[in-house]
Amino acid sequence: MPIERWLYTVPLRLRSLFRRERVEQELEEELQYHLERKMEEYAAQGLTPEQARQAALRAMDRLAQDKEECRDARGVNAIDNTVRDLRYSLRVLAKSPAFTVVAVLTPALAIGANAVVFGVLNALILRPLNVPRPESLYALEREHSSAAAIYPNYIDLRDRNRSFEALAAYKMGHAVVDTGEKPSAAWLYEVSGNYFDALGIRPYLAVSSTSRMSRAPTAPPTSCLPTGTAISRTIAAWWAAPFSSISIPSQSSASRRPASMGRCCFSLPPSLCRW
Amino acid sequence: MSRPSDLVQGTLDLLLLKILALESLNGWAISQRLKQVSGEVLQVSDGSLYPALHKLEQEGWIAAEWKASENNRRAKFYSLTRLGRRQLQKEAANWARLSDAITQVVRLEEA
Repeated sequence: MPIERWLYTVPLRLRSLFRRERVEQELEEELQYHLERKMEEYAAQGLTPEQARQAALRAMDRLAQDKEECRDARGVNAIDNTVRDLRYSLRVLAKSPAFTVVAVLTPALAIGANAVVFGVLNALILRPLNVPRPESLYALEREHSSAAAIYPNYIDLRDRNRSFEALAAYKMGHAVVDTGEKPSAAWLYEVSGNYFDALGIRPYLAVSSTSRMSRAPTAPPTSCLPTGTAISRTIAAWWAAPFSSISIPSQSSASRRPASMGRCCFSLPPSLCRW
Repeated sequence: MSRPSDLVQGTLDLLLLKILALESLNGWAISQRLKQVSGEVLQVSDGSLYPALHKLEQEGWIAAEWKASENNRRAKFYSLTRLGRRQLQKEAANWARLSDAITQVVRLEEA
């Protein structure tokens, strides 16, 4: 229905805008025709041509204003006025640059600040996690004692779990990364071996096997993964060392890796469990 | 000459659409026809006729065409579009509803 309306109205508007003189001329002609007929009518009533003309003009009350109203009806005036206003405001702004800068910067800063706040909020809270079925994901925490959330407890929970599809553990930690050039600190997640399977995702670099990562509770942990892209390729390259089947983005950074490096260990048991 | 307020407000569109539904006419002929069919009761001032016609045209309810008039001069003739026909039905129904209601109120007898 609106489309059908546009078929009629859009060409009319365009014509009013771009063939303005022709449209104005037609308006003039249309009103002129009316005026002439009116004069004929008065003349037929016995007025002299000049009297008829005067009477007709009176009757046409406000010929010029009629035209203005017709232009209003066509919606051209609105566009004309807007263009004129724009030009005027640009002129005024150019005259006082200091005011202009403030006027532009104020909303710009406000918009920027809002965008940043929303961006953070959106990334952290509003947007669902980028895993399959994020709505089925739950976090489990011990309320008081962190001592109770030790790794063997997790193993017990995991093995007796009948309520959830999977039970994985993770813990955030620090590590020192030595790429052979400059040692630097990095954040890492210590996770149980079924972490990726539980989340339903695959690691970007390493395809780790569950059996290889999770062993007996007392065995030394064997695996963790670098977090975030900010930690960059050098860590990824360094990190990829113990796995033979890994493709490394840049061969040059991999070749700089010292031979003795190879494993990242976590020293503390996971304190958080995650389904 | 009547002022626009002599017409019930908002009815000019309806009258113009109805007149043009019967026949395509130019502005002058429309004002004459309106006078004729209403027994000189309804008159539209020249000051409101053309803005109203242009508005209807912009709405897509009537379309304009330049043709030779009855006295063989070039004049702008307006005719109803498909959209206009639909709009006419809508406004006519609305008018019937309104005038019925007003008539009922006016005919109330004092107790």
